[in-house]
Amino acid sequence: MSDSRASRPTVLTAEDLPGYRPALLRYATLQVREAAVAEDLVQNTLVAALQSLDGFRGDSSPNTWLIGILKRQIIDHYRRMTREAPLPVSGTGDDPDGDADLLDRLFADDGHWSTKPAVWSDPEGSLRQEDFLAVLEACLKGLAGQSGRVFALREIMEMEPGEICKDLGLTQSNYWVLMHRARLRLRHCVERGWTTERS
Amino acid sequence: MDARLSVGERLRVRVHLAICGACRRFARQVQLLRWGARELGRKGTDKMPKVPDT
Repeated sequence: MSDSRASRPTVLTAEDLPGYRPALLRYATLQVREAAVAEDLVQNTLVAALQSLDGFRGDSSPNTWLIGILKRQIIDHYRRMTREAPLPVSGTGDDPDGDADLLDRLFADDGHWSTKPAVWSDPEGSLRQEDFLAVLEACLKGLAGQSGRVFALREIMEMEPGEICKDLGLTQSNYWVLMHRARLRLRHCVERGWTTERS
Repeated sequence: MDARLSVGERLRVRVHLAICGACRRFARQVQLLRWGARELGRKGTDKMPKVPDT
């Protein structure tokens, strides 16, 4: 057998699966706010993987294969959440974390920034990068609601906007509003965490 | 970031960014957030537990 074959298992056994749980859980909690739901989705993933172990051919790494299953679990969860929570209609509805208040504070009536984005010391160098990612990870966990889901699908799962709209039943303009709110909220949170760290 | 702009839209964005430092900074920071989110997502696929030799 060649060395490259030995470095990647082409056979995945049932005993191997629980070892992947921590990595899967970490991936899920980036994108699903409720810890219990994240655990359920990971559990579903491992059960589904167990049932289709024979189908794993080793074309990708086990981790990639499992994350693929988990992605579909998360998307299904998002679809369920979307069906249950109607889309916001001009200021009412889905505003679990007071987006409206934040947007009011960030922008003046004429549309200009009322509090401008501060200077961030750029995270160059791997040590600062890790610090930045830690702040970002914490802030991602706080992104709730439909805007959080849309952001995760776009920026973490790297789906195309067209696909996201189709999966969640959104119009292009719904999508833009949700993405924009998510980016504003996330940027605001990261700024608080990052600039505090630097001082 | 999300869709192709028309030529007119692109021009308007460029003009605005030329004069609005706050928006330039916002755009840079949003790109940083995009990079970070992708990194966090991909980290999940790199982390492999030690699989025992069979």
